Amino acid sequence: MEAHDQVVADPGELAMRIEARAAELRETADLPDTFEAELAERFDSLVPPDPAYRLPDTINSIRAMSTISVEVPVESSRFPPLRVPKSAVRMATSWYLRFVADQVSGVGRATAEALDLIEIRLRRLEHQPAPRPSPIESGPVSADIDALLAERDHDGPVVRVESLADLAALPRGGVGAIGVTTLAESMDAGRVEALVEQTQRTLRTGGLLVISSPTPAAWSRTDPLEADLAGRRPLHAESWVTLLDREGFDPVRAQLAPDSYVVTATKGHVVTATKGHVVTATKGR
Amino acid sequence: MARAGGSEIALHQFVEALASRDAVGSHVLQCERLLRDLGVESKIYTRTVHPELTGRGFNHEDFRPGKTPTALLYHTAIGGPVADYVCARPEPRIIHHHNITPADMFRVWDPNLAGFLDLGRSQLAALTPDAILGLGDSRFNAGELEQLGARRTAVTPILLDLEDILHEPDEAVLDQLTAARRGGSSWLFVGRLSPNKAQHDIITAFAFYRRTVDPVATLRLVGVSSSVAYEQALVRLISDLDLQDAVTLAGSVPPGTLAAEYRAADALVVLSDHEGFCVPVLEAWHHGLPIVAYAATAVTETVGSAGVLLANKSPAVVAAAVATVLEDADLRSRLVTTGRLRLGEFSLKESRRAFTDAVMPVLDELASR
Repeated sequence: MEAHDQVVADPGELAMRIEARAAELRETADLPDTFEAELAERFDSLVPPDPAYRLPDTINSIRAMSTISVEVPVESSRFPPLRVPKSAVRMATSWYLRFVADQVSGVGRATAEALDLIEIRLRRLEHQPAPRPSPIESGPVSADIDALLAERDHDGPVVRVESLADLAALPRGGVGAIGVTTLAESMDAGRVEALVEQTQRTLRTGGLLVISSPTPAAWSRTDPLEADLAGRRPLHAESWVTLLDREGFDPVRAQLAPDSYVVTATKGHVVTATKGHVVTATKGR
Repeated sequence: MARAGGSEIALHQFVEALASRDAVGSHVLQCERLLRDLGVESKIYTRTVHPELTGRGFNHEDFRPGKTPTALLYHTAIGGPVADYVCARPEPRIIHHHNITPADMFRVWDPNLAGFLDLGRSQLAALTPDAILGLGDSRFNAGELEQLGARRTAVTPILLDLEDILHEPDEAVLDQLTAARRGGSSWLFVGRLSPNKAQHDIITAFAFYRRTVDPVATLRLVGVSSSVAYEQALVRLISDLDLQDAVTLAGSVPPGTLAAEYRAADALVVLSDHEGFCVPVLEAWHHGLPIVAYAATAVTETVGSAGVLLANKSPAVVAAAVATVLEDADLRSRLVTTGRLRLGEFSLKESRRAFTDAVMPVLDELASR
């Protein structure tokens, strides 16, 4: 196989011939001196500018992949005839497999949606104000929400609500304080959005919102088979603080204990709520 | 299964996907055939099987070792769950490194794919140090395994039955392609539209060639897209350079059409920044096509002296190299002759021998423990 090793007598000589020819071509009449550079620039201008700006594509890709196939392999490597009973079992259990697939897909979607908030946080980093004292304190949490509401005077009626219907029945802008109990434990994004909109509608400026809830950890201990994966279990206290702060409540504070927390938020003068913000913020737990 | 020596051994293959019309997929199938010929029990385990290969591969999680001493052979190409599975298995393992495209080449074009490539690299790093043998399609690939801590490596060219991949041209297609040349020279590249294969460099070099050497030259880029964003950028580049009538993105083509593409072209131009082997070089030799290639990664050793290797790929240098090859009939003839000779080095017989020489001593050691 060595006979072909020298396809040209002198590879170096061929390289020099090519370089000389390249120099000739560069001297071609009417060819701008910058022609090669311009060719490179043409493509460079088409290259996406910064990988950081591709993050949404990654999120979309993950979201697109948040499904699984329920096609269980039925090929049998050890005993091919087993394929028949395996196929029968697959057909008999297909409804359950699809149910499991839906659950797993939910996990994937929740992951992708959590990435939404990470992305937003990354984009907001440069606009972050100076660090403030943590609005979340650890310690014993009072279960007596009436006592919390009574700690200060309120200009307007004080009400406790246990359903969104209770909130919807309240008058616009005249309520001094709202206590929310047994409602925040099991809310999906749409209901969280409705809760925030309704409290903003009904509270007067300076009015107080108090939310009492078990922590996700406490919920898991209650029923370990119910994983906190699909955005339907108690929001973390941190999520409420982030959400209400972004929606114009100021100040927003949370008292956090191992099994429960209380969030207090005062309705500010500026309300910035938008549906998109609410939905996005509630996902990033 | 009893081998010629009387002892028994199993070497099962694991790959992320068993693909059809794919170099790694073809190699895995050939490996299975060779191992069975050698009396070694062997099956293919994977996560997905191309429909054309139904029944040839089994789900990797269905793998159950028998009583026979067993080793695993993992083929690298991209990250995935099969690698994690193999990494967690107690059986001795052999790694066959077909190379993994550096993720940075995809980062801006397809971040998701880049993530899988990153994963593949990290999995390779985890799999390699404990491997009893590292195989590379090329010295370049084997060298990467050594850098990752492989204790024992060998170069075993990819197992390709040239009879399977080298077809006779579809005459009707060949007539069409010949007519479309309009008297000009014709460049060809075959491979996925992919940033690491640098089709954009081919297009810009071709634009320079059209401007300075042959204003009616044509370029055909054959291969399926692996990145929509990159493909769109190529289309835009072709348009910006006013080359719509001269450059064709032919997509994936059947074997007879591919053979016609080679026969109708004047030169195969390869400017890839990263290749693990580069099978189209073998096809070009078979069809008597001279090769102009950028000397990078495994391309350098696959092409060897049977092509013009360039130290840089500036448009003027590439255009000058193609012009030199096409204008110098003697040089062109010698390149074609040398290519056909070198093709013999990659025959299935030679590659099977190299694989056998590298793998069987290791399996003998395992069987005798």
